Amino acid sequence: MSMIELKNVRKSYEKDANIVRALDDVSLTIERGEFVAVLGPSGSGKSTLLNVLGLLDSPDSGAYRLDGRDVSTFSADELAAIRNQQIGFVFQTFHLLPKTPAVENVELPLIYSDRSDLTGLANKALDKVGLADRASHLPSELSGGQQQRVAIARALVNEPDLILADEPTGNLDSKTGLEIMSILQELNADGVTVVLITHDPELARIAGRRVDIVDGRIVRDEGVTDRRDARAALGALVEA
Amino acid sequence: MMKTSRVLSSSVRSLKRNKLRTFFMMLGTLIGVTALTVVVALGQGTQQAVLDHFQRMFSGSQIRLQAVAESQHGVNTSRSTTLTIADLEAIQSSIPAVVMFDPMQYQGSGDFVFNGESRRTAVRGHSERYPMTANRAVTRGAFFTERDVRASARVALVGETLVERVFGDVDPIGQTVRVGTIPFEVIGVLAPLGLDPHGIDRDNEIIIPITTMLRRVMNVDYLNVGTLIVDEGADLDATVAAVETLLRRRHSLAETEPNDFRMYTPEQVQQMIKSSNRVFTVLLPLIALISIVVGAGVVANVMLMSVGERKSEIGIRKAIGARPRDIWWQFLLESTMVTTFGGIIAIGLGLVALRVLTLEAGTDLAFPWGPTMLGMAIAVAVGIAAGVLPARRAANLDPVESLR
Repeated sequence: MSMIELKNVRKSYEKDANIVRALDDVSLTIERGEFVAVLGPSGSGKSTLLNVLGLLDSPDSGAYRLDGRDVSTFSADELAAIRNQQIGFVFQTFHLLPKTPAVENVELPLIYSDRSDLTGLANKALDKVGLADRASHLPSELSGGQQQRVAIARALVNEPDLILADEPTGNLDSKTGLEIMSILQELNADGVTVVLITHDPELARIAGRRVDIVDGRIVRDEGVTDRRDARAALGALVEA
Repeated sequence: MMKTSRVLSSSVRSLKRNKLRTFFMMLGTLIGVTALTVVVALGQGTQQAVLDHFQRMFSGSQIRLQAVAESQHGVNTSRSTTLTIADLEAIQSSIPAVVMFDPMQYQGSGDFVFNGESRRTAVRGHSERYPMTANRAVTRGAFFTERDVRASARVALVGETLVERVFGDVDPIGQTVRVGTIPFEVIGVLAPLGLDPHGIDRDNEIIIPITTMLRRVMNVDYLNVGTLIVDEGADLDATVAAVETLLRRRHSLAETEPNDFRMYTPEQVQQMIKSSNRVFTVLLPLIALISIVVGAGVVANVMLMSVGERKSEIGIRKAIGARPRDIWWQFLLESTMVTTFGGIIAIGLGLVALRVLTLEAGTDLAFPWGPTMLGMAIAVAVGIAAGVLPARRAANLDPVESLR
């Protein structure tokens, strides 16, 4: 059973009185443990794809099966529970709560779960992204890269199977971006399925599979042959 | 339940971190609830004080007969000069229910002189039955007797204020004082009454025989007030009617003329006190309530602004698994906690204000449980009312939209 199965998914929305076909008959299957980069120019529909995959948005037509279950049958509360337990989001603009210490930002998904020892789990997740010593720092006291690492810790604190990252390095310099990518690669090596949205073909090589999307249609879907190792690339960059 | 309590503690932290926003929301309820608590407590307290006062002086089965002429519409009144001791005697002898009476004539301000020391004081003329009809004792010496009244004796009883201010260390009993130019012998000290509801010191007065008052001090033959004690078992209303008929006849009032007197029963006086207290019991609470409604509007507005400002927060919370109802609870709890906390502060402020006000007035107020609970309930209600709409808006926000 595939983890993600999209079949003939369509999604359009109105923008300035124009109908935009964000997803136009998209079919896509992602297996458990894959690292997929979705590549496309802005407005190509890749963010809409991510929102659909993350259960934040529902398709107009077509089917989406997550772990074999048709998500259209789920209630809003069930969708929320799946987002909470199975999916971790990483955004381009981090979306950390301002004036709130890193550890509390990481705790946020746990508030809506049944788990206990919120602070302990949050600290463990922060440790995973190398920020154990920044737990009590406010977002405003952290660099962009550190903020994104806090956001990643938040995404993985509930140990999800799927991480959805929407241009996670878009606001970061290339070195910091590689740091973030190496964390995603490590997570993927641990078995977490990662879907990465980017417009940068170089970054797409971090992934194991590249899906190109243009005008809401998948125009290319193939394995990455010359895959980059983010940690090695980072080492090379630091040496240079 | 666990989730809700986590949402709660998350809300508390959020409120602490956004102190200015929290402060403005609190201000919305603070002023209104403070005002309401103070006004309602004061209203209840003063009404109780006034009622207590009348209870002590004017209770049971009695009729207060006032020499006040009613105008045609019963609105404007003026003093009349037709009520006499003979009227009261006639009432007692022809109406069996009336068992006792006490006439009274009054001078609001007279010169009281002792040992060259002078003081403005109220002078009241009464019969020897005053201690019984007014339920007021004599603490030292004795009240004057029927013989004193018959003889228009120049004897006087003095109130505590006069004892303190004028006599000082001197024992007033047996001293000679002057009222105007007339010398009196002090034969007793009256039990203290304190301030009456008009704020007049009822211990700054002297009481002399009514006959002396009429003939020697004022040189008139009419009374100001007559107090009629009615038999406990008698019908008070029927007695009032009988007195009215008799007095109208004695005063030769034509059918069309209004009464040249007014009668009050204890019940009527209580009604009057209650209705004259409407400012406190109805009008001011209403104004306070309006300010609370305005305050609730402020809170609701700040909450709506806050929902707008925190779109990204709401979006991220939804993305990581908050159910719509979790978001709804969060905002409702935030609004309710702020106004509840505002309510607690408001009640504290109200109690301080009440303390200051009652100390000023010299009266003692029981702890206003009713108004306090009312204020608290209203504060909580305001929080819920002001939070529902913003909470619903937050809960229904589209996460895709709010994360853009």
